[in-house]
Amino acid sequence: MKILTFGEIMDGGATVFHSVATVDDRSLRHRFEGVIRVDNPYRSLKEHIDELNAKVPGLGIDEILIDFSELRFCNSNGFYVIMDIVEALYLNATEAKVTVRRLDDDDWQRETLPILLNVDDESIGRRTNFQNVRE
Amino acid sequence: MSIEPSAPTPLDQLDEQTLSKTLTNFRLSVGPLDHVTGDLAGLVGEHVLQILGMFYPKNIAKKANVVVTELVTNVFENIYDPKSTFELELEAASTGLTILVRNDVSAEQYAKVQARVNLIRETPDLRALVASTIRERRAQRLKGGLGLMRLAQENKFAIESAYLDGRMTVKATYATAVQG
Repeated sequence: MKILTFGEIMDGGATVFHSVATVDDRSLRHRFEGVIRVDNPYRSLKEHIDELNAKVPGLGIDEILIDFSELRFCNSNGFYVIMDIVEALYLNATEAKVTVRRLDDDDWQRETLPILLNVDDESIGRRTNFQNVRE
Repeated sequence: MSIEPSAPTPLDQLDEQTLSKTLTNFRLSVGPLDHVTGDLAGLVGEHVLQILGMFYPKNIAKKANVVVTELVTNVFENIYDPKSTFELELEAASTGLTILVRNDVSAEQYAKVQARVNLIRETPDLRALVASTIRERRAQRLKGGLGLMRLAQENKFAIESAYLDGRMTVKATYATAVQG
């Protein structure tokens, strides 16, 4: 398993959020960890998103795990970067089945995350499977 | 004749159901607003998460964190008078949560908030409204405009707004089933 790309958000001199993509053969795992509260998270994560768009195509990925279970908080300023990242995964690994691991008792992950993933789009919805976990 | 104090609840009886009957009131007032240079919304949100987490189900504490964070963020992203003060009030009980924020805004600013609240209250399909709003605003990378919708659709709060003497009150209410 190797790290494909990672991004982080610093706040007050400390890292408060990690976004890490790792690859093992034809499997890709993307893990979100920490909190997104800063005013403009895109400023911190732009390079990471660009790297995903550059590196994921051509890897022949056939399965993706997107893991939100360590994402403790996301304010509405963070919605677009989550969309940017998951879109980079879906659009650059078009053959991959996607498992989304999320917290069962978290309103954001139950209600808003499916909207950000755009699972109402049939082409996204049929590739997506939710795995609900307890904290 | 003095009234005898009640006996404390034995520790082994402080189960989840008993703890959820705790009444919690939290009030915060900060001003002038231009003295705030750090992430006050985040600090208060985390604080509320920890306090409510002591008594209520984690999901309730998380809801309060989201609401407090979004409402206080709105205050600091839309400051009208930098020398004014904002107030936060939170009440938690077994019946639910009430959270309100009060701050100075112009009549024009209030009109925008009121329009958004009315839209949230009147839309027949809030999820569809949230989805279309997120997509539209993302296309232009617009900041803001999602917080109140989020509280209503995601966290199931009823949202109200009022305006009196230049101060806006935004109130979010979440009702739980009353525990026996």
